[in-house]
Amino acid sequence: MKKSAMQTSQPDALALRIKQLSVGYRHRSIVSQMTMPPLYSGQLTALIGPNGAGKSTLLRGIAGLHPASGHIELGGHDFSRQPQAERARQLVYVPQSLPAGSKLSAFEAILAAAMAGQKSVGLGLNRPASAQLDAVEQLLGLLNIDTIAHQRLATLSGGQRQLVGLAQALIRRPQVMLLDEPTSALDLYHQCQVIDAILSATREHGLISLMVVHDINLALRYADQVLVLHEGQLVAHGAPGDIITPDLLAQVYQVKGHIAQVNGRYLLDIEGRLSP
Amino acid sequence: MPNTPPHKGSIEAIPSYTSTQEQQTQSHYQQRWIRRNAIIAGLALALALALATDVATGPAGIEMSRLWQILWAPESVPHVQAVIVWNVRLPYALMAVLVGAALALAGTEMQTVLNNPLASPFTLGVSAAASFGAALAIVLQIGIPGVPVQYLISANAFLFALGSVALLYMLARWRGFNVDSLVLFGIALVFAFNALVALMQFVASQDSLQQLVFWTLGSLARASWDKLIILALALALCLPFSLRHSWSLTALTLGEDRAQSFGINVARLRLMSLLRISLVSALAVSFVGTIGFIGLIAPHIARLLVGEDHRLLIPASVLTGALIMSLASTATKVLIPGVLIPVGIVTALVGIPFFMAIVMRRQGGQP
Repeated sequence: MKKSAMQTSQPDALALRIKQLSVGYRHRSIVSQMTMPPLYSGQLTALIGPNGAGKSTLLRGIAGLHPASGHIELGGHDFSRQPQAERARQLVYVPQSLPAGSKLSAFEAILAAAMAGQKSVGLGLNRPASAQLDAVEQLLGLLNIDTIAHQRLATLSGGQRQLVGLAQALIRRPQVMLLDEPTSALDLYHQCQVIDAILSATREHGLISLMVVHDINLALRYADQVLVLHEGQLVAHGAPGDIITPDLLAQVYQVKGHIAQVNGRYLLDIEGRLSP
Repeated sequence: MPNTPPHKGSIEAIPSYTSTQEQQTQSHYQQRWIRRNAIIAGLALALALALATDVATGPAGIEMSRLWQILWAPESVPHVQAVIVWNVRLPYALMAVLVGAALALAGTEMQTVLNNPLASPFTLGVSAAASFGAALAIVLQIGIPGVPVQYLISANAFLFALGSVALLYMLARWRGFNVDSLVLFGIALVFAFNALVALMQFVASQDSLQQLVFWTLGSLARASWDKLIILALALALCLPFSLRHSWSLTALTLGEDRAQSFGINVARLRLMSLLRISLVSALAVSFVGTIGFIGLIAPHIARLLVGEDHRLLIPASVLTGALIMSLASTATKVLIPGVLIPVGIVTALVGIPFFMAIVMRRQGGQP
């Protein structure tokens, strides 16, 4: 967590600043007038909160997939008014999962992410440049999924599909990566594999990563910063060990629990539901 | 980083990452690309053979060598034979190819943009709407003012087919673009137009009833050179645009949110695609009547052959559709010697076993 404190203090780091953001339709905004602390490059921020708090909606609003109003500023430029294609060049949204029935191979799916939106004048000659093929390969190797490169997505496990989805995001070389529950429905091994990949991509490429997670322990273990969303409002933010407290758990989740410290790491210990 | 597995202490042996492996991955992709292009070339060759067979087949036995002479030097052969080939067999055979291609193109794009494996011009009401338009012209002689009499039925069918796609799109727009509801609307349209056609049949006179039933069966005998040219132009107009957006269409198969986050304007892609679909499928249906299952099955066969990369899928599907129609067209002439069976009957009979096989596969394969 020291690392994050160091990075936060860098005055010239690229930052995503969100002010007065409302997401939803005119009379029914799910997230209203939210102002978030700046998110810096190279940092992994976890977005937590109970079901229905508006976490996914917030992410989709920032990505431009849901009607939103307010200021979204990246590196001093307001990009909330930019067309979707322009926004997608800097920011990529990773939905929960890839369709399980796709006949595309992992290689083709990642290549499609790189080539999406490209049009060619020639008849069907929109062939990828060899640099793009190289990039696909490099990512497959980096995420350790090169052995399944030519398997259909339909035959991959949930964890492998999630890594392919991550590769699709990374090949677009974004500055901001928004991840919607990247570890949901994965076993422990694959949770670690996916989070490791997200974390190392965030650090190495200086990404601004914002990730929705349900597992508080994952947030405690991996996130540099945690945002807590409750009923469409940001109720707490800061370093995970500082803000995830018994009071917060009681207020937001109606759960009695406390944070233990083991070998310098934080662990959530749940006693049970609070009786209403 | 590349040479060290990121997970220390993992039980699974993770193969280490080397540059030779990198080369293998890429060359594997290239090999597959070449192999799939070869499949497309094979389909094109098969189509050429099927077309030749179709032209050579007919009640008036004309030998292959004679055929060649007729095609390249029509003046040097008896006039009757030249007329048979140029005015009957060639339009018939070429119409089969173009209609098959048009329906397959429409079916492929429909299945992708509506994200539904059952979408096709037939299952979403385009054919049913065209039948109703034709019925209005045949039974009640209601048509577009100013259209020549010989085009009255086709023009009506075209207008209604086009209108059905527009209606589908507007209904779906009305409550936000929800793909699932669009497919349900399409199915509702099928039933609505079928009921209206039945009503027309009920009030029709003996003569017009026979004509209407024959129209809805779908027949290549209505082919003519001017219809061929119109359909060929429409295909030549739409196909390059479909191929141009093939990467975006491929990305769309991975989900709307994902495609949109890759910067694709999904709403626009859908609208433009539906415009292309409505143009080619409405023309095809209005010229030859209801042809079932080609638009549904050709994309599925092509997907099994070349996968879901639309740079390959679109040409493969178009060729597959054309090939099946061409084979069906030959079958209409030889199944019952001396009788020309409407092609719509043959395609449905050929189509249903394919269709069942796909359904079985889906149930067996995926949960």
